[in-house]
Amino acid sequence: MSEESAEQTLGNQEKPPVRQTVTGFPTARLIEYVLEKLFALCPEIDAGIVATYEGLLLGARAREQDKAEDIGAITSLILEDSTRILRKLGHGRVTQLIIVGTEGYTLLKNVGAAAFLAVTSKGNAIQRATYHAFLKAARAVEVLDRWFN
Amino acid sequence: MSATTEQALRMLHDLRAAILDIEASAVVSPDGFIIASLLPADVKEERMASISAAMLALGVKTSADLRKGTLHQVFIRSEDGCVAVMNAGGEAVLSVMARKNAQLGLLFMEMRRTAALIGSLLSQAPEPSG
Repeated sequence: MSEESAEQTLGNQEKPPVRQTVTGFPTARLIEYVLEKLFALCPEIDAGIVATYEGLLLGARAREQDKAEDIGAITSLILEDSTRILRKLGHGRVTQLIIVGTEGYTLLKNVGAAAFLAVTSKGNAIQRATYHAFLKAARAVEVLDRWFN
Repeated sequence: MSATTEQALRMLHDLRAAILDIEASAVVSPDGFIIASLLPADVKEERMASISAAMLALGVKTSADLRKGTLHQVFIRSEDGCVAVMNAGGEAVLSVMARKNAQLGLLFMEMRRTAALIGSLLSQAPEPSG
């Protein structure tokens, strides 16, 4: 997916950052942009991260900014545990994960083969609009996949 | 087979009839013991119990770490299928394995309904003697 389609996917008027090099600043700007839009669309989301399957953060945003790294670390552990569970089943890697608690939920989705997007949100049930925006955001950052392969 | 197990098994059959994409399902106690199960020949009860216990542990830990309250549901989808665990009234969890193309909304709705029925069944069940 191109940055232009990322803009269309998130449905807004601003121009998203343009990719200038294969790695470096513009990539970070794209992730930043998508997370920013996701936060604006869904006020109940309290943190969002994009990281590699190895647990390296590519971008993070949280309403309480100091929480972003904590959430990144917790998400990596979730991913490790769920991969172990899937291995017992003889299944492949995690492509989507949902954990719902009484006071909030965690959503995780792969963005291509090497990275994933995870968000934590308030509320005791997954709101359709939030889930929809989350899936759109995941599709918007799928452009990253091109740079890993 | 006890009456409670029999009724729980009937609920699993009803769930399977409602969602044809379900491959395996079980009612498991929080400590990992099977109460009732409806499994294909290639899935052993011990495996289903250990997966349910592991998912429950993952969900409880995550909900606590992220301060998201009491765990209600864990769902993991992979390239080959999906697995979901849902709280069934505190005394058990409903654990389901489904095909990768299962309709999530429908699956969660039917699981919620079955989990509520299992929860009320287990809360009325007599305490095991001995």
